[in-house]
Amino acid sequence: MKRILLVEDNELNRDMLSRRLERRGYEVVIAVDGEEGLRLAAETKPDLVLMDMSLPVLDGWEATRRLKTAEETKHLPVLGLTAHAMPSDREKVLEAGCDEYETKPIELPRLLAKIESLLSGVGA
Amino acid sequence: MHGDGGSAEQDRAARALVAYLRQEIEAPAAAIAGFLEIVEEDARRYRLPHCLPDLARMKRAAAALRELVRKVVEQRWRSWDAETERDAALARLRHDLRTPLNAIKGYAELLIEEGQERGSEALLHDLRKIVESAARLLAQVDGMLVAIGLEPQQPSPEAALSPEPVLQALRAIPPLKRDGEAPPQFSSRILVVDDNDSSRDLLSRHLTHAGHQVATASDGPAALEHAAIHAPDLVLLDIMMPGMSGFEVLCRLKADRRTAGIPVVMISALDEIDSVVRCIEAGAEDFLAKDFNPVLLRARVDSALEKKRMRDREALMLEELRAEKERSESLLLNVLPGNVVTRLRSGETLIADRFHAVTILFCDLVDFTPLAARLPPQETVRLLGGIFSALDELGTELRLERIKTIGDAYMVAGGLPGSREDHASAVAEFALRAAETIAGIGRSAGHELAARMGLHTGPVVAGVIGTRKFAYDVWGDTVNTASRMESSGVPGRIHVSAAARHALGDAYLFEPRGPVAIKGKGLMETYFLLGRA
Repeated sequence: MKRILLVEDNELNRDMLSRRLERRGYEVVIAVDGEEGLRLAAETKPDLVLMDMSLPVLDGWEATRRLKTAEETKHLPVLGLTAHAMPSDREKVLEAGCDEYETKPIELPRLLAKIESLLSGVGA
Repeated sequence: MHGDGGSAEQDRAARALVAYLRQEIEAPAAAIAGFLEIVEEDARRYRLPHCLPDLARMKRAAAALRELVRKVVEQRWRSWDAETERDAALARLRHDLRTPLNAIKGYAELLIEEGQERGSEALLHDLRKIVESAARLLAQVDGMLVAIGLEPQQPSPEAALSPEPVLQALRAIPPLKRDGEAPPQFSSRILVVDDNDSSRDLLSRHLTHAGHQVATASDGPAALEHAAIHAPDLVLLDIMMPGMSGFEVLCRLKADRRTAGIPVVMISALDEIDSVVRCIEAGAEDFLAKDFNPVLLRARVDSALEKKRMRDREALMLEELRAEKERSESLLLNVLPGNVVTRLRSGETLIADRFHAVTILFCDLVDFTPLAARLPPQETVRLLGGIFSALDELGTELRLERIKTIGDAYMVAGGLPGSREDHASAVAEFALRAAETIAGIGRSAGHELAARMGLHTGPVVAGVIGTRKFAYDVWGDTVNTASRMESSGVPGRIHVSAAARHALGDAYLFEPRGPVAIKGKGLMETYFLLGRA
């Protein structure tokens, strides 16, 4: 079973998304801010990180940059979740180091497809 | 915006934006909250408690959404000095809305997924509605921002958003009411008929929120009963119902006199157009799609209610008109006898008839003039008025015709406008009772009042004299003689001519007076009427 690290500060979104992912057979680990996200990424060795871009303490942009530079986490696929929906935002998210991104409100089927493609791409 | 090119223009633009936001953003946000309540009720009703925690979470998200929307709508759009400030605020709005929308949509979908295993169709249906509403809201937000020209990528500052295109786009929005959710001017009573609980509840909520009083019925018989008793101002009627169909309910409503005037708006699914057509032909005012837009619902309801109000006003006015006509009629009848009015109405322009046997009485109050001089004017009028009213009543009772009053003199006739055998005795009765009445009124007013009365029988001409101020009057020698009887009479006594005595016969007692010189007639044998035999 694949493990997903979900870094999301909004309680409702966190609860909702983790439950929906769990129903689909993923194991979900939760972090509530950027700092905790970095820590848990190193500790729990997830297969994929879902990173909300606007986070307290350390925001998603910075957290992603650090993940992608740190030795033990730079291989982790990171999928950014953002409420900014313009094409220019996409560029920013990808520039920060995310491998993919999804805009809120989440379209679950699309998200799952992206997750699967990132997971199967690992190692390639 | 810089420049004072048109502060009124800016105001208008700002107001238009607020109104647009209210309509396009606030309304769907309210709809989401509305559906959530219904879903919660459904969850309780169908005993699906596992939904409740998630529904509670959704409600929190919906509350956050509405709060956000409210803040945006109440934003002082004019307060910014730069377009960039405003644009940034709009971008922020778009961003911020997505978080609660994400939660709402997500939980709804989660519940649908879980619900498909063990939920109820109604609940799933409403959850899907929530997802739709969230999607719609999102589309509105995006669409709005596109409409006012907000582009994320500006290649150069010159091509940056200038106020002109924004204003143009806003000008295209027709000026809406300042408060898009203003309550209707009249709160109406609406009956919602639908067998589906959720649909009924949702409609009911929208209408209640718009300020109306809503009653509901879940089947045809209940609806018919309610409508007959309570006569609502409008009925919203679902076409597809088990048992008695909406069409049948409509037909029965229109067939019952008590409910035929109530406007009916049918509620239908979009693939039932044929049924809708049948209903409209059967008397329904309008129809509304089941998946209705709240703004459209209000428009249709307000329109149907306005029509009914106008019809009611019209009926009221016609009723008032009728009452007014009746009043004029009765006023006219006070002046002219009924059959004379009829003849005038049917086109006769000259009313003049000869009557062969009529008895005329003149009644004159003795020494009223000096009395009137002593009394204050109101007192005089009250006294005289009281006497004349009493005499009028007497005349009505005895079916005599009051011809006129001249000062303090009263003239009455028997035997017209319709001839009668007992004209003389009727007038004699009048005379006797009038004497008592006058004395009585005088006593209670503290005065000694008496009348001189003169009575004569003979032929007269009677008719309507005058074109603007009508009067029904009598002429002829008989009238003059009756007048002479009075003027040559004695206070407190009833002076009658030989002809009158002859007409009265043995039923009455007389005292001969002896020959009296009557101006224009010479000597006449006259009598005093004493009483009944």
